[in-house]
Amino acid sequence: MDFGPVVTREAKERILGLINSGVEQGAELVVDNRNFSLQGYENGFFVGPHLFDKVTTDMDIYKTEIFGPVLSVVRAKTYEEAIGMAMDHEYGNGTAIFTRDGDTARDFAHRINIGMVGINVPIPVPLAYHTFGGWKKSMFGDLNQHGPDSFKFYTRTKTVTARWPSGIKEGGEFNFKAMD
Amino acid sequence: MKELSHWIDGAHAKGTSGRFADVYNPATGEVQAKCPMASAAETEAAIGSAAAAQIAWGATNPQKRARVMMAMVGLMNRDMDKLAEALSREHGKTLPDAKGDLQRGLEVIEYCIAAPQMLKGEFTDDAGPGIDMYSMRQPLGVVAAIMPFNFPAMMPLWHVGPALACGNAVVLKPSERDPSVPLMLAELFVEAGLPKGVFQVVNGDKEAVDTLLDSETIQGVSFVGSTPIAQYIYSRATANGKRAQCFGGAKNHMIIMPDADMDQAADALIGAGYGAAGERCMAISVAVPVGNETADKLIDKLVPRIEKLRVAPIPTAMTWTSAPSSPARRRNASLA
Repeated sequence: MDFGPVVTREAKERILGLINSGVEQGAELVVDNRNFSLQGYENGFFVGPHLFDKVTTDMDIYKTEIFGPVLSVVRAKTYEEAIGMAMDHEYGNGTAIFTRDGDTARDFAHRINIGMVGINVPIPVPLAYHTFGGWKKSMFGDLNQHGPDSFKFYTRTKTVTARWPSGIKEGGEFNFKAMD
Repeated sequence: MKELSHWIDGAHAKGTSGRFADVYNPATGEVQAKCPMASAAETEAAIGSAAAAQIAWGATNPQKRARVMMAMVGLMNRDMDKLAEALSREHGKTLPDAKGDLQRGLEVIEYCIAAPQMLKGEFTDDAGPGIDMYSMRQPLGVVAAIMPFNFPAMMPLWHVGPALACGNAVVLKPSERDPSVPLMLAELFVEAGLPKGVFQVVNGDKEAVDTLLDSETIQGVSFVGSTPIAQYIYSRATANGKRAQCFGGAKNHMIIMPDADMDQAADALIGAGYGAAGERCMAISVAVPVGNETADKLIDKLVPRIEKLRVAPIPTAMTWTSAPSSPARRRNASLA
């Protein structure tokens, strides 16, 4: 199996509602599984995979996080138009570019206003010793998850300035003296 | 009906509020357990005993705290199959994907073994005549982690691990959709040597969350979920003088240039777009091919791959290791 059900009945209904909105707003539903059902699991929260083509940036399926098995293809004429779309979106969690050209990949990684970038890697989840976090409406705060940031987040810094004007070496009594 | 609990002072604690949330088996739509929803009083009690336990834990040297993390790594590996199955049953993701969820959490626990190194301060000798200056990193005290349903092991571990390694006590409010694995992890932490009360699990909803956000004892808040709630929690926590890190939604774009390997790009999109039914903040939900020719080629590659996807409940017996998986899925299996 490749994937299972979504989490709740409400999630399933929300996802199917968004798929319907995509059709109503003029996107082309290339793979349509709205009637998907599994024998013996008719009451499960399964949503089949969907593919939209010719999605435009004014559609709800483009603006909203669907959080379901729905992929939208938005056609761009140029690289500039494509990077502009990702940069103009309110979310800035992750992104990826697939290319054989190092110059394009490098330009993309430098300019993009998104926190986690994949170059020929579709889900660029940073490993434990780097940090995980998005930009724009994907993150509120200063420090990311795991990596060095997490040690900063969960501690506070105390800075001590210490001076010892005079100590025992300056005039201490070193001779053994009897108590009078 | 199975009734789940909270985890307070190193033991399961029955909910006393009389309020419960349904935990579904998402594959059948049936309710499989009841999850207690903590009252403000129950939440406050959990915070109070966490604060008492934190004093000794914060004074425990970082090396000893790191040894708890070392033991936890061993225990999670020992119980990996059991944890993965419990995770799949409540979340609905596939067993290999559930193991990935646990593995990515485990890797942060491994990283936390470096706590003594990470917590070292800075020192300036002779900052002035006879003056030295040094800094130290000290725990905040009690922190709260409010975590989402989509990674019920990884998300709590990403926060609980570093917070504990730094010497804090943690009150975790996991998702009421899939609370069993967080409770199992709490049991393992005690087995790993974590003192009782240092890690509390409070199941609940807005009542418990608002109690955490308004508590004068809670010093830091970590949240992962949707953007509107992230913004709400950030505003309320920071207005109350706490530090906060709140992670919200995503709409991840993948740009496909005309020179890309279209088979690779299509395989990548299948895993990133449909894996875990798209319930990941790192899912790719928008593919942006550059040029119509690229778009047509990409769609020609995507459609047959999508038609081959198998959507199914997890197997009922632990026979999943022999279950076949598609080549596309295998290729992306290492990526959470």
